Amino acid sequence: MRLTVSRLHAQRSGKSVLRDISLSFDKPELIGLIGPNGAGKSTLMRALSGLQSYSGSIQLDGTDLAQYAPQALARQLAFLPQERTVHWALDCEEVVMLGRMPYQSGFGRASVGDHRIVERAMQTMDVLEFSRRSFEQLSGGEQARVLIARVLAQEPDMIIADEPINGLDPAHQISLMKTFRELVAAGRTVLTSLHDLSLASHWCDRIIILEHGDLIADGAVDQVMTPQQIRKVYGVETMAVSTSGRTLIVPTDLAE
Amino acid sequence: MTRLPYPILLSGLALLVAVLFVISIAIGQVWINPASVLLPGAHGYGEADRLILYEIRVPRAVLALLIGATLGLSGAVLQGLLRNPLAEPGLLGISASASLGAVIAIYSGLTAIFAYALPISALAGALIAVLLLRGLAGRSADILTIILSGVALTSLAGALTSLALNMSSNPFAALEIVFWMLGSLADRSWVHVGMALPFILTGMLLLFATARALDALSLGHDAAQSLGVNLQRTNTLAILGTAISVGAATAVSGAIGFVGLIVPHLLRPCVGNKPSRLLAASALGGAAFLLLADISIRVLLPEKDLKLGVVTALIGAPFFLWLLHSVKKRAQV
Repeated sequence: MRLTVSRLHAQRSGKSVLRDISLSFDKPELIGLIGPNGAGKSTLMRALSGLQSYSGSIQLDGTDLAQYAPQALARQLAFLPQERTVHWALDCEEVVMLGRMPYQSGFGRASVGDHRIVERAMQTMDVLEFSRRSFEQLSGGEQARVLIARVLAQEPDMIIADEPINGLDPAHQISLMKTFRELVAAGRTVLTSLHDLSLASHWCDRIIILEHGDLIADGAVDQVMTPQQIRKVYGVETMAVSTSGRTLIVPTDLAE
Repeated sequence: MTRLPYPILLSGLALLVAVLFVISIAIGQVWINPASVLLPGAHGYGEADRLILYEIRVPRAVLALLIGATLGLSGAVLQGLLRNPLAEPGLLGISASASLGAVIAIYSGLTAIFAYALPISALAGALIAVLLLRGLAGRSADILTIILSGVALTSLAGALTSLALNMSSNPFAALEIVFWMLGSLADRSWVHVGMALPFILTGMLLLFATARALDALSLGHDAAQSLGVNLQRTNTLAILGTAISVGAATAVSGAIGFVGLIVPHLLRPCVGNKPSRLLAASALGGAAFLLLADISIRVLLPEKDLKLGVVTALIGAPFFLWLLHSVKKRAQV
């Protein structure tokens, strides 16, 4: 899979939110998308998922995103919205089964294969025991895992997740980042936006920084997440902590 | 909780509809045993019984079935589309606007020229209402805005209906106003069935086509779209389907409220809360509910010509308040 973005511009309600963004995703890696509030992270991820109108070009394996039939696109790219609501009290298995929609026709009868894939996805996310439980009854962390299982059931090459760790406790945050790592190890590309700089620096392979709709930096963590860069973009001082061979960036104070 | 398997649930509901249908044609000012008329070689009925059955009761029961199914189904679709259990064609002003369309068609003399002007004009009224609602609520689909818009639409359409009837030189204006606002199946004939049937079936077909998209919408707009659902198409199907079927239903029965609210809500737990499965169940449930309501007005106050909408509102309005309360409580948890 190769997703190429060139000279991307996007507007939301008449305001320019992304300017001249060029990026490329072509190998299994965990990419952290960071930047202050309003930097255009969500818009970029929505554009990459085919949910946002834009000018410029986004190509998936050489074909323009807009040329893809929605179902065909959904088999390659999965989008995990920030909103973690399921509007009706569906059983968790039904929620995960929705991930099979791009593979099903009209009436959406689930095949044996669909059931197997759903079961495997739920196993991966350790939520198989909730199959028959109502989504409503789960805790926030459990719900987040079920929704990721939905994305896995979609069997995409690339997962685009909008602030998936928001509102989760540290244990769930870390377990989610670990899951992303496992997905990458299994050959998938994962792009996730996040606000937690230490988690981003510790778990990601690559960091993309957006600010006011401009692409500020794109590269390996230690090249991109320098104290100067973070101070410039976020207006905070940071401290670099080395632990088990990785460098953690920890915000300490507001910059002068 | 153990649930009935889906096919069994649907068969059960279909059986209930069948039983109520038979009761509905048997009950009235005189009791007629349908078997004695319908079965070949049966004895003991007169020509009068036959006429009452074929010309009055059967079309009335057929209409109750069709209109109930329409209201139940459109309620289920609107709730799935707006992702809220409080949506319903009556509450949202769609039925009232359809009534207005029907009244305009009758009193402008259009129906005298062209019989289908009645359902088409009611359909146009319903369509305008749905489009207005979409426009007012916008993408956010904030339910408070939608319901308040529905309240305003209902009042406006009601006022305009009364105005149109009062302006016409119609000695029965007051009675007519009551009919269009509360709905009734009294004195309906095969003509009405023939007029409504093609539209109701077309509209229901469009509504059923939204099923899978409604499932995906459980996850919200963005997720549904990223699963390959064409939301534009879903919206169009739901809007046209509701306008066509509710418009035609209202054209022959007046505005009957609350069926689309109560029925999907009662059946939702039986289908595991899955929007697509709720559709067929709500259509059957709506048919059963309206047949039952229509039977009850003939049993409870046979001499009084109680309006059908009175019964559905008597059950539905308190139900709505309770639902509102429980939705609010749930949101606070």
